[in-house]
Amino acid sequence: MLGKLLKYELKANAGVFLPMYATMIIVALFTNFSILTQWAYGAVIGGVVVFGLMVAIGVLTLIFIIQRFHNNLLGDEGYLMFTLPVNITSLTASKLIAAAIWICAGVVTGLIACFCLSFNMYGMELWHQIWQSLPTYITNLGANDIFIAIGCVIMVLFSILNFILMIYTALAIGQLPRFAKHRLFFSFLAFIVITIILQIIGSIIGFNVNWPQGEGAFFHTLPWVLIVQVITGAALLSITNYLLNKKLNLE
Amino acid sequence: METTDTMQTNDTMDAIEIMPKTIVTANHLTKCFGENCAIDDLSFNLQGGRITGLLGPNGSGKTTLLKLCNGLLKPDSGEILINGIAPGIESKKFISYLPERTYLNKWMKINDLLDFFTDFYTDFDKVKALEMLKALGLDKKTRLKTLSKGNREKVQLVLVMSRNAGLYLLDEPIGGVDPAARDYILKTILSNYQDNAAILLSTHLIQDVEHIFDDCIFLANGKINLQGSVDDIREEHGKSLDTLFREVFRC
Repeated sequence: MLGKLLKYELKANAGVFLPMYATMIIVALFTNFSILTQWAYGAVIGGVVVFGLMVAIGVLTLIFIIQRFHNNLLGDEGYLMFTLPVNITSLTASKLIAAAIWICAGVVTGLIACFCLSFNMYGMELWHQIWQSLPTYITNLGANDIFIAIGCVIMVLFSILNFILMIYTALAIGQLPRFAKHRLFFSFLAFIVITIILQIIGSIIGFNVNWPQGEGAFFHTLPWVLIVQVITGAALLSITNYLLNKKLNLE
Repeated sequence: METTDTMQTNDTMDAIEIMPKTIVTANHLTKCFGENCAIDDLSFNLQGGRITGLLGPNGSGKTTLLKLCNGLLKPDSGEILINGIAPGIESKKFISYLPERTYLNKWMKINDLLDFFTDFYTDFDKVKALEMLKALGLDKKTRLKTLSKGNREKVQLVLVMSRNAGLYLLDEPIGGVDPAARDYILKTILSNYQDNAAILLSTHLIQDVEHIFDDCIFLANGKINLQGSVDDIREEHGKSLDTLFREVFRC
């Protein structure tokens, strides 16, 4: 059932994101062509548009992720979603997984756009060199470096997902019957309270744990950071699921 | 001796099959929102094969009762059982629910929605749905965004009635549609539901639908005011349900 939910979840936003990705890449290629033909106007305008689209995609991805949860589960569409024969965890999980997929797709498209924009700027040589030297570079890296690189990417992704989960939890609190008259205000308030609570817990852990010092400190700390992130995410998801299961209050 | 025993067993088996099955059981069901109890210590049974009208003025608790049946709300005390079990994934497979709101999203076409129902409900009959859509003059390629409110309600009713469910919960199914479609919809409800299924239909347009009811429940302030077979009630009071409703709930 999770797979089916995910399918519709991705379909729901594909109509918005895919054309935006395509536009960004086309404009990037246009800019590149303008640079090649030394058409200054085209190059400047194209560059500005590509940069603007990157910012827009970043902001819109976040807005659409929040909107999907708010409209599809807590709005009128909730009458359909919550009467499907699926468990609540699948509903929230499908939303979260789709969010992670769109974030990654946005980043990858951004990188592709950067490549499309610049492959002529320094000649194909530069990219060719990077491509050629990449394997050597990776083999020269120590196992620790690779672990840190991958760990950092996962850490950033988890941070974004936890941020989204904080918003989910805040929205689930804001829809409770006692707050029903001012849903968005109480969701906002709940978000601030959740942020403060997580900061306090974070500080307590930060000050009381004997963190590794000196060389390789970051390497030894990273796994613990990831574990704390997973626990935080699981806690937020559990609260959201509990509220949607027991305290659902569709308008 | 042995033959007699077998015969007796067969007789009992037949008796069980003929006896109408209890589909919904409510025991001292209560649901309050703050001080106000929308459903107040309600107990009743619904049998398979019967259409029950859930009648009452605005704010009498009709929608709350239907939401308790399908698990969108959890009772404060008492219990509600669907086919002997509390609302959950199993009951959601069994119940076909038409909410009073339109739950259709904006990005799908009618056809996408048919696929959605096929994916999530094993009892969904797509052929039947296409037939009904055709009869109502709705094109399956239409985007839901472009449909009028009345047509959206028709689509929703087609989807709900195209399931071979055991219990249909219909909340104001004819409220927003024109009289011609109203007649078709009532005919559709009567001709499409399974013989052993139960229908609980809430409405305040009693005159238009009272001829299809087998039983009725009059709800006032979350309590049952009157309950029984429509024929018995008509005979006992010597008047139509509509007239009786106007007298009982006179302002």
